[in-house]
Amino acid sequence: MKHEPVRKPVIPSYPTLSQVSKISCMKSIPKLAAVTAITATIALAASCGDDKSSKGSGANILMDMMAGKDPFATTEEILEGYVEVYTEPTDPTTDPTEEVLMGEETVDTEEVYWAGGMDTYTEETDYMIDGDVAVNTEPSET
Amino acid sequence: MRRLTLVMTHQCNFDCKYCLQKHEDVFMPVELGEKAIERMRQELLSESSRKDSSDRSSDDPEETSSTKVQISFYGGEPLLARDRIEHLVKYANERIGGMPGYSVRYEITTNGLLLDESFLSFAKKNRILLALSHDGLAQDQVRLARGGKPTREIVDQKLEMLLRAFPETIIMMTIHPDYVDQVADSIAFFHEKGIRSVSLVPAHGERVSWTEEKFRRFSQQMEKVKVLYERWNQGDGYFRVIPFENKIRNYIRQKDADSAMCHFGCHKLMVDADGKYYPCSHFIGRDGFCIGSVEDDVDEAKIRTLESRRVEPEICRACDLRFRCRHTCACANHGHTGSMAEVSALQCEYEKLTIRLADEAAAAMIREENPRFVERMYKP
Repeated sequence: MKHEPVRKPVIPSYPTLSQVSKISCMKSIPKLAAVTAITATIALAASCGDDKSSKGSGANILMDMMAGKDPFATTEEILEGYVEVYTEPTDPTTDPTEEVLMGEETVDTEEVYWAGGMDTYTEETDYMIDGDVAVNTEPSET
Repeated sequence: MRRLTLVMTHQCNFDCKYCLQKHEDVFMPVELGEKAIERMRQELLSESSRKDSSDRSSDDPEETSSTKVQISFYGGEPLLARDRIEHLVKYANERIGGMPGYSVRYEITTNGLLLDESFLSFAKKNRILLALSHDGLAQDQVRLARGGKPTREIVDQKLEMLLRAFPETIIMMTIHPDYVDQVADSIAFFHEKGIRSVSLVPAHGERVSWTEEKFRRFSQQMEKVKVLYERWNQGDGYFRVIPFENKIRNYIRQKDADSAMCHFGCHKLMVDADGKYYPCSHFIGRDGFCIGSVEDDVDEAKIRTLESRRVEPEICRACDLRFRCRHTCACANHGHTGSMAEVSALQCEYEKLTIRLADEAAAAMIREENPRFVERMYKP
């Protein structure tokens, strides 16, 4: 086994919560649609030859797209404070993001997990279990 | 401080092959447990009065919702001190549960041997989360009873009893390097039994020995676990592999992987059976890591001294995964290498592995537009 630092790891191709919130709040689209659309734009950007499609880029492309702009012009990476340049897609008609957005329906939230906070045992919890494990790593603040 | 762990005993009725704890006949006196709970109550009262004086006019619903407090019972095997636990739960219900604005819940990690219907009924009534330590198909090779007897048959019966009372029971699985080839089948066994949450961690310490070959085989097993995780979360399915879910959740929230860990008494306080405070289960009884006692209160200067030694390992500073990795977790580092500022190769490889697999699984489930997964992970 080696203890070697990782340089330029594969960046997750799914969005952060703040990206999703930004899209779903500003455009009033369901959360699932926002998540899948950003994921699709990240994949699309990567397939266009930009292997630096980092966190933030998918959301930014999508925001531009929804604002009627050309999504694959220069996209400023805001979250990380640096600039990325995306190349033009070879065939814009194959944009998977549009399909995702158009076909999406309202997300059914699963009350069994979220309703009522900690009131029943079966809900997802933020218990810490001793012995190296946080079942949910978010500390309970309320 | 809203999380308190009481080490009820050092004694255990198991003799697991990786366990580093000395099985001494030490039990926490009930009076000491009461004092620790009383200390917690006093702190919560101070916190409550500080909050009142700083913002009396708040209409924020979050300010008025109940604050959750967690008390855990730890061991050895905590159910060897079952009568004391029952007493302390009742005591904490009265002293803390009765405080306006606070609700108290409990957690016990047990090997399951002493579970019975009567205790399960008590647990249900008192909101006690029971986590079961079970090593799946390797149970009889690794988790033996004192005297060397196998335990799987009886613990499997207890698991079924537990699941009837608590369908959301969590399994805590430790991977012994000599039995790595059964990991995926063990997870499948738990799934078949009806378990929906499994945590797993590689065993470490002087009683086990990981080699490159063993870790390679473990990685292969984890690849299979990832496939199962994706499969069992399709449609209406729901199955949590907790190491994956923690990595995904922290990335989505852009949280440092270490941010919610123990941090030397900041997020939780561990009270040993003799009343001494420690920052984490790993440090119990270790010289130099006591951070006060029930009698003398928390030693803030000692916490600051320990915190100053918890530095980012030199080798990790060049790593682009460091914000997603538990490389600054003092107890994990100390457990693996004997130093709080050094990460073991095992820990490093395990972190890389879980991050990669978690990301692959998350991306696949999102691509499939899995609404249940997305809702779970993107809950604000």
